[in-house]
Amino acid sequence: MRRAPIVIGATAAGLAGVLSFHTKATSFSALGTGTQAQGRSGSSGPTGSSGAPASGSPGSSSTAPSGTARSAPRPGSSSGPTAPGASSGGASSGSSSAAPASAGSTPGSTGARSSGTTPSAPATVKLTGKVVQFGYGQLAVTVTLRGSRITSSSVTSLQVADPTSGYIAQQAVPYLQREVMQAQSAKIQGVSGATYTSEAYAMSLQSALAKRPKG
Amino acid sequence: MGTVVSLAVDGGALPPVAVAGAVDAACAELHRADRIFSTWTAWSPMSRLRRGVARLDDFPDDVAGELAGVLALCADARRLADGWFDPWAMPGGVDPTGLVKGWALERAMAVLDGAGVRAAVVNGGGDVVVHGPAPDPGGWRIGVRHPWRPDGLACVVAVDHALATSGGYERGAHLVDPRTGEHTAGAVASASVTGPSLAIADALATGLAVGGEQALAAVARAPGYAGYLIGLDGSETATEGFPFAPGP
Repeated sequence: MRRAPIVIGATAAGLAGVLSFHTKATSFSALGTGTQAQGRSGSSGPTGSSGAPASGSPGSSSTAPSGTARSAPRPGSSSGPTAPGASSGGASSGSSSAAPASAGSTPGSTGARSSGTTPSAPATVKLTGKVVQFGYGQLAVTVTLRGSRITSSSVTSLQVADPTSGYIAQQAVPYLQREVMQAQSAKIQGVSGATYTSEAYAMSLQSALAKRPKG
Repeated sequence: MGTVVSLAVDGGALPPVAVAGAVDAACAELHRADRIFSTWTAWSPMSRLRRGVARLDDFPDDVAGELAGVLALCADARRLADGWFDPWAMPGGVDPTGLVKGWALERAMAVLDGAGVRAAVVNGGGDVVVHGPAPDPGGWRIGVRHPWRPDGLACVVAVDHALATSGGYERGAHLVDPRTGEHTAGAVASASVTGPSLAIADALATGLAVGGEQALAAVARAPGYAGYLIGLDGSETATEGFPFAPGP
């Protein structure tokens, strides 16, 4: 049996994969999400991961932040707010080049709009998704985006029914946060085996992404 | 069916507007399947059928055809699973829920395929179907979530077409034992099945989660399918030839 030292959680992997393909609007109901993805010609595949340098390998993720903002600079972005996809207005080309940033470097995600001294640099936007019920509680996710790229995600509201559920949710949520970051660099294309927590997380995250300004 | 579906699409040569249209159409297909088959809403065609307040003849031909088609698949899956998957043993009437999610996800993928996308992954609550060339030369790699460590994968699977995982972890007793009709947390912590049909793989994984190693013997006999179990004690068992992928 091969043991894969990957640290990644659940369903949202594919979701972040969609995001790297320049997701636009989302909507969902009982089954199915109305995720609109705009594919790129000649792209590197559904997760945009093939171009991710080995330094972004999932094995390094045990030291990753749990999704909250850190002020550490993004590797390779020496001159401030010009990091991902500066050549492409829409930042969609950043899915490979910026991939290694997922472990340990979320650029400051404090303000609703922070970076932007360079006109072509994508703005940083912070959006909160709707409160989603799951098996034993409810949660809401806040996501910070720079252009089309997630720079951090966090649970801003988490209520659970009982201490046991709380324990499970407290365990699951940091990993889901981390996963949203890592899915942009992990060398897998998805994860099988979902949970209430991860589904609720993905739904709230998608509702947050649906609030993104068009264009 | 109460789950989240994510679609990752590589449009290849398609213009972005065509890719967006394909994704919209795939999502519409999922919603349509949900309207027909949801057992969460009392008046979906499937709910009326299972309660016995409607017959196949009562529905338009296209809806009746899909209901009949899914029930035929259910019968196939029941046979392949040696009875460990049995929609007709569910409390409240025939319930194809353990198969129909995989079926619907494949329908959505067929829409994307028909639109001419280069590659795609459709993942609905951990039931995964892939299409086209993988982004890496090694082929499609899908992780199986570790049952107790939300941060970990139990393994990575080289997927040709479909991978479904079922298990009692986090959800508690959401399975039904077809022999008793009682709810159960299942005999295993996690059960995964790969194969040429996600609908069948979904059903077999559901059966594996209930029947454990006994059901694994049935999966081993199903042509083209392979199964992987993590027991409640953490032990791992797989059928011959289960496509474990090398680590990253």
